[in-house]
Amino acid sequence: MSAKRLGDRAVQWALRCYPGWWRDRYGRDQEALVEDLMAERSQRSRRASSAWGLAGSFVVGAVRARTSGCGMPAVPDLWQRRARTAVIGAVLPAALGAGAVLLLLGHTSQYATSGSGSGTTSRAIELSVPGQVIYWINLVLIVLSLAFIVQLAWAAVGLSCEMRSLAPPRRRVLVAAVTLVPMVAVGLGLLLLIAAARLRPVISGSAGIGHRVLHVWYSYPGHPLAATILFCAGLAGILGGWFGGTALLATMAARRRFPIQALMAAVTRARALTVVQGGVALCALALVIALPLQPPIGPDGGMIYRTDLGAWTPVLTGALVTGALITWAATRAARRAVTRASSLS
Amino acid sequence: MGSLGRSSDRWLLVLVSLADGAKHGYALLKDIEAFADVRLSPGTLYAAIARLEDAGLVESVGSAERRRPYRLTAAGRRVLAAELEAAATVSRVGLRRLRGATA
Repeated sequence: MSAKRLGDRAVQWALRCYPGWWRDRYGRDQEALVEDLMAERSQRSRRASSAWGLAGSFVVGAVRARTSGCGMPAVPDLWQRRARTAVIGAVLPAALGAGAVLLLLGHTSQYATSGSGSGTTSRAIELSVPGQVIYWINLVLIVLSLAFIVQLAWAAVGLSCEMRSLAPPRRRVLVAAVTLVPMVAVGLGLLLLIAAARLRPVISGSAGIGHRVLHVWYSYPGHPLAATILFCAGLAGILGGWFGGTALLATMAARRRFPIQALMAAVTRARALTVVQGGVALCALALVIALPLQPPIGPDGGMIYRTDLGAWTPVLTGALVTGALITWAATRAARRAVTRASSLS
Repeated sequence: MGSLGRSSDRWLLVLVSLADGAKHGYALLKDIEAFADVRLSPGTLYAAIARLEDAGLVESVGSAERRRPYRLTAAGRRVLAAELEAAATVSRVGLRRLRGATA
């Protein structure tokens, strides 16, 4: 395919990136403008636009139209649909981001050698400056993650109460219960993990219950089958409850099971989450930058932080940063859409 | 223009371009390029038109043609006149002070 045809196709694809209501309103107009600009290009005008430049401009315009809703007709149904989509967009990245944070935290560990060969040691050895930065980033990340979990639990409880008061009478209990599904599932899953950890034998260095929870899947002599079953059930409860419950909430929001005022409450809570989520994303970004800056361990030994995630670290960090940006943009869009939908209906 | 946000320059250019009559998208781009030496991208132009239509400052002229012309509304004329008056006042004061400083 020639470069010119490829460029023309890119322009057509970019025009299709606009939302349907925009294309209904300005689609034919924009196509006519493209024809005029292309005709100008074929006359080799000095300042004629290139097809790729046009495509880029339309893609930016399409993103702007989708995020701002500018130019959207005053149709209540259209604004309600936009509000629901924006709320889902604001809440889902936060739910998915929690998994990414746990992965990052769980796979970043200290590694030290005393100089007489490689291996993990408990001897206190000085960290380099980037290593110390990573140490503090990890601490902040843990504090932020805990704050995120507490905030999320608080938001779920508050939202459940508000949903109960706002939902139609015959759906009140259902709506309130469904809102709590992710948090309840995570709570039950954690209890199962703790029960599994208590069943496993105590070995050197794993006396703490947290340590035993984290290492419960390791195979040790005398490890009871019940511990493995409880551990698997706990993990399935946490993952299934968290992601399944969030997906259920998203589906219910999309299928209009929640009233529009309840969505406003969800938006307010999602906005509060954005601050913590943004902080977590920034910490993860700093971690990715600081990890390769550490000097390698020399012949006299030393201590560095390393991650088992390898190339997945920047990918996860990118996902976290993108998620925080999406939440921020979606909460802004949702707030506007919910206000407009309420005023129209 | 305060309600139109930070990128009011583009909207002002569109309003000025429409001050002497209705124009469609391509004519708007060419006119703005001619009088302001600013080449708006098509995406930016239509975002500005949409925002101005939402604000009730611009309306499309009922036309069956694909190249739909846009024109100023009465409110658009008032806002444009106020904006240009304010800009002219700033310009007058600035020029007077420059002359005073060089004299």
